[in-house]
Amino acid sequence: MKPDEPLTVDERLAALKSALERVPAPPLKAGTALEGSLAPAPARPLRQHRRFVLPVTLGAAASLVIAVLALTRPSPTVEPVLEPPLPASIAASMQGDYLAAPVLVPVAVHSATRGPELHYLDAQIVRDYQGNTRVVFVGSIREE
Amino acid sequence: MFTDETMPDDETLLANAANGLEPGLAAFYERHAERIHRYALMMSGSVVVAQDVTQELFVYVLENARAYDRRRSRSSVAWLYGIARNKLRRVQRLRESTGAAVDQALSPDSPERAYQWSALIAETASAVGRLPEEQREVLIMCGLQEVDYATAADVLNVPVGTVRSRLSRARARLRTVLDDSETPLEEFSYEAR
Repeated sequence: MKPDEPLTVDERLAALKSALERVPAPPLKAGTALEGSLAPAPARPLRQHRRFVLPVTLGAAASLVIAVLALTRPSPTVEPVLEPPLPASIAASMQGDYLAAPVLVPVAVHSATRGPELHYLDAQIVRDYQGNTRVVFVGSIREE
Repeated sequence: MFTDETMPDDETLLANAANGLEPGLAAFYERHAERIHRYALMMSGSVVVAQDVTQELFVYVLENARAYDRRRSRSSVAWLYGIARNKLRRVQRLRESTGAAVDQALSPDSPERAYQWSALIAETASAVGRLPEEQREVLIMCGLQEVDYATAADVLNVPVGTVRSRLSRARARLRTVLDDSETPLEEFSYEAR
C-alpha cells in the first residue's frame, strides 16, 4: 500500500476487522451469577438476579421496590428519599449514552413490622435502543 | 487450573453449567462473549443493543444449557449465532414498530468512540451497516469474524453456495459505495495509534 493511494475494500475491511478485534466483551451486569448458584436441576436459576428496567422516575422506582420487598416484608410501602432534580452524581452519569458507572438510588422503606428504613438500590443509568434514558436496577438492595 | 489448551470443549462446559459444576458457563462466556458481542455490535450499530443482546444470550444459554445436545443440534458456534440473530431480529422489529432511533455505536462523533474508531473505520463500518441484512450478516460472520462458510450456512439455514454468493454481492456493493470515498493512507490513523 502506498501512502497516497486510496484503500481498497479488502484493506478497509481488514482495518475494520482489526479494530473490531479490539472491542472487548462487555462485563456481565452486576447480579448475574454464572457459577455457583446453580442447583443440579435449575428451574429458574437467575430469577432473583433478573434486571428490572423502568423509566428514570423515583416514583416508578418506588413501585418496583414495593414489588421486590413484598417478597420479604409484610405490607411494605416505599417512598423515594430524593425528588428531582436528581443529585449531581446521578445527573453526571446521564451525560453519555454509554453504560454509566453504577449508582445507588436511595429509597425509604416503611414496614409495618420494622418501621422506616433507608435502603439503596444498585442501579446503572443507560440509554436504551429506543433512545430513552433508563435506570437499570441490578437487583440487589442494600440496607444502610 | 485450566488453560486454553486444557479447557473442556463447549459441550462439556454446557453440561457442567447445567449441573452446577465448574468450569461451566463462565468459561463458556470467556470463550464466546467477544465474538457474539462484536457480531451484535456490527449488526445493530448500537453499543447498548450489543451489550443487552450479549447479556440476554448468555442468560438464555444458562437457562437452556441442559437442552443443548450437539448430536441433535448444530455446532455451539452456530447455535450461539442463531440465538444472537433471533434476538437481534426481535430488537429490530421493535425498532421498526416504534420508529426508534438507535445510538450510532460506530459513529465518530462521540469522543470515546472516536478514540476507538478512526473516521475511515467508522465510514467502512457505516457502509457495512447499510448493506441489506442478508449480505451484512454474511460479511460480518465470514468476512470479519472468520466464521467458516459451512457454519454460516448452518446459522442462516441456506446452502453454502448461497453464503458465497451473498458474500460476493456484499463485497461488490461495498466497493461501489466506498469507491467515491478515496481516503489516502496518510489519513488512516488507526494503525498509527
